[in-house]
Amino acid sequence: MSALGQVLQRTMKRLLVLIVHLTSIGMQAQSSDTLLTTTISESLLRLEEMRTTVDSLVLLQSNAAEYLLKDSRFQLRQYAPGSVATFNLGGANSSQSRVLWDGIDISSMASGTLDLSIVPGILLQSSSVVDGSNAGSFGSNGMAGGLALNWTASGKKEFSTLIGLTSIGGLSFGVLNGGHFSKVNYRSFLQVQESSNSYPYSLGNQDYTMNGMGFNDITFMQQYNGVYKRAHWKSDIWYTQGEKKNSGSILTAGAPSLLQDKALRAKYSWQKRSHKISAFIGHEWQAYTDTLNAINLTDTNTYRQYTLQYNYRTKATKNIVEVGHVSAGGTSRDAVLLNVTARHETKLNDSWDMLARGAFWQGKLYGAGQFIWSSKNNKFPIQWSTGSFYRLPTMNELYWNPGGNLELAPERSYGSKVSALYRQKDLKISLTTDQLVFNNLIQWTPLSGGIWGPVNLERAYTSSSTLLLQRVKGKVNNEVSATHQYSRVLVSSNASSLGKQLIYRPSYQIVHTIDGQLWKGRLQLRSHAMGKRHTLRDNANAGILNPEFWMDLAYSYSFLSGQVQMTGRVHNLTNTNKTFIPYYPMPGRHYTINIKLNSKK
Amino acid sequence: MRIKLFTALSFLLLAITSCETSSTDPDSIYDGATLVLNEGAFTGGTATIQVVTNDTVIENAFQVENGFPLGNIGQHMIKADSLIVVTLNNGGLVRGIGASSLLSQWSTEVSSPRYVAYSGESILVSTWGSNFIKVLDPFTGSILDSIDVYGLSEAVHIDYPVAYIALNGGFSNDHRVAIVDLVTKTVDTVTVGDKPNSFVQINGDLYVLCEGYQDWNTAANSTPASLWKIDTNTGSSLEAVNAGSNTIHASALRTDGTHLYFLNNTYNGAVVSMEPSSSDWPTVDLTASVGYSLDVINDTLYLHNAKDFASSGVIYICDKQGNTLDSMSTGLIPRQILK
Repeated sequence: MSALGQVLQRTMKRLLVLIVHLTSIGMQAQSSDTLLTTTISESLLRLEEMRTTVDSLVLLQSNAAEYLLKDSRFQLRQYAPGSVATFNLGGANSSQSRVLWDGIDISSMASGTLDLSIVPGILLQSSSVVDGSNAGSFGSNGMAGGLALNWTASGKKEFSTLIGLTSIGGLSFGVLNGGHFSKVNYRSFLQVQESSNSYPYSLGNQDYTMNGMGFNDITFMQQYNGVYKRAHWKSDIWYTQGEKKNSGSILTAGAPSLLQDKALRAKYSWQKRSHKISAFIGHEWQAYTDTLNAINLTDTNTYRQYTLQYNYRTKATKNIVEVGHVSAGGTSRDAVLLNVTARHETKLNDSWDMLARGAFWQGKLYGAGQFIWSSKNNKFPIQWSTGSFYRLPTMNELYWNPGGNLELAPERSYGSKVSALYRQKDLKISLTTDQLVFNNLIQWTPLSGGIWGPVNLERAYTSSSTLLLQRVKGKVNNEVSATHQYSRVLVSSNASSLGKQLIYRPSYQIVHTIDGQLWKGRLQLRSHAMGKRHTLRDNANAGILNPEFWMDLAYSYSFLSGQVQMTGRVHNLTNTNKTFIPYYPMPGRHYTINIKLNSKK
Repeated sequence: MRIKLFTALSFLLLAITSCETSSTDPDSIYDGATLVLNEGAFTGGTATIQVVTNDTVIENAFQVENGFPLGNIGQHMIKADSLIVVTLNNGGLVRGIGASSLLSQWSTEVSSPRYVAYSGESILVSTWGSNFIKVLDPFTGSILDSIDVYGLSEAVHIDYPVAYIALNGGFSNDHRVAIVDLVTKTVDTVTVGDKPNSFVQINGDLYVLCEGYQDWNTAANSTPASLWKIDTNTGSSLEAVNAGSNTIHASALRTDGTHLYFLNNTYNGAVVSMEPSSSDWPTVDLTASVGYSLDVINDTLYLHNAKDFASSGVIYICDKQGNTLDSMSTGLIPRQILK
């Protein structure tokens, strides 16, 4: 997987501006529509994703989890295609990396995570992945890495119908519509998809067919934006609803559980010169029914978030104050908290930036900060950052009944990162290495009386290094994304974890993409290699997921003057036994057809 | 000379025959070995049978022999003549396994099976999937009968021809023991404490450990652990002793024939012991509070420590005073040891 494209903030001249525009997804299957991007500007040195023709189409019809597998920094945990998806970025765990929507942190303060399977790929920008310790400056609660989601109605007229079919029982249908009236731009996206996830797998010398892992969901997004008296305004709505079955691992009795969720998010922002105000409302509802044969257990949880954010920028500073009112209700918790975050970033001189972040949470104050040094060499920029960030205890960890622990300390990171970029003609290289110590790691552990509860249990060290290499020569695009990870538990009350690797972190991930013209279309071959992962804290052999290598092949072709664009994909061409979680096999070789019909150009 | 030749030939023949005999009928490594049942990870894990001999440890012997995993969440394991019978509660399976080969002989689907007991003729399986315990044919695993015991069932104890089935309500609450006549299939129930989880029999008295109900929403509704005694002659039940505090929830009642041993907590419990005649709840911990399960075999305590439930466990081998004599590394979440 990889991030490709190219963005690069050269010096950190100022705090850059957030979101500028999104390029529309082109309808032609030419390279001209492959590298267009947005500009999420943060003062972090990084290389944008190289978005190929196939990626550009697939992006519209896949979720963020599926799409981001092209980036080696992104480590997915998922039971089956379309099922609940959490992720790691560069050594962090899923609650330590945040997901932002247009600058608002939307990762749940109740669970700490966001299910990426219900985040449509269309929200991903080519610079959405932010990795490493300096990403702690990103959002209000992150320690390492994050995802910046966004999309923009540019006013361009478009109307596209999207159809997708998979050989494992999947069907999707979507409509993308955009344009403008008066001075108002609009864009809307509607998608429904379902899959029975029926595919063969092997267990020892026995062959079976996967059943009971189907899902369906619907996504609707709409944006209006415009200018009013020199002020820019923008309003967004994002609604998702889904149902996911899970029959358990292939060793269980096949009594399916059902996860139902609905999420409505709305946002309004107003910006005039250096001032920007954003208001966000998020309502989430989730019900989990465990059908243990004769017994049905249903757990219902709700999460509400109201956030008001004020953003003020000058030439040398960026200032954000965010007030959030969050509430978590339902079967197992009932709590309301105020979350106030302030961020201040100052450019000290041409080379140095300083960031300070503070939060008020659960009646206490927490502080974080970092220094960033950037070289002045525009040809070969280098950046070094060092700092400390926190991850606040979630409401589940604080208030879960039973087991919630009000005495939890926040997780704390101490990190240092070096990034370098090199560009020459058609070659771009990015190298980053990131060293992090996580303190007070929170883990759920059995307590007395049969109750499990979260405690600050461990200190761990992670080292994560990523090489991104892009070369666009003639009609052939090449990208290599390689990430190496090393982690060790330094302190733990459980002696068997000491000195061991953190679980679910592959020692390496490499993704190579080659994309080139073939006849009138484009052919893409993507190869993935993933190192072994431990799933048991003592790294016992019984919990090892072995290294995996697989390839995906795709061919994209457009005709009728670009009004019809088709992509055929062969997933897991090598028919590798893939798995992200033990005894939850992912599909072997299977096929997808994506069609995009454009009625406006 | 002929006699000598004949004698020599006889010895030679005997030697050859002896060699052939020993080469065709070797002792299995599993004969007489110690077996450990490890639950395995709840999500996406497999139970394992770990085999320990004097000089060999095979961590996942069932999979080694059969080429496929045992199943999700190992709950209980017994020896039944030449079989090992294992329940896999999340996997919804009962497996009959050759004791000498560890090769799977049969597997039977039973919804949420819990515990098994062998009557000499059939195998009884308790379950949280329905109110009916299952009666299996030990040779084929086929279900011979289902007996309504009027509740979700847990531990099983057979004093032939009577079977005692703890009714614990599964995820809910119950406080009865079903008494089943295996010949007539008649069923009666007697009242005991909340959530009975284990039995031992000393002479004519059957002791039932009840862990007490844990209400996580309203702690005041929780009830304490208790020990009950059932007279196997009359079927009457009587509370022998009560923990007093509704924060104490005990499990894994075992005996060495004279004393009772159990864990004073369902997770991270310490071993405590008491005389059957005692009317006082034991308060002296014999071991550290690290026990997830307990076995008592040949006057030795085997204390199963699951650690953080995401790492390999350990079994502490202790004398009856709780002194640690040795320890043994196990798979994930050790639950039971068979010797």
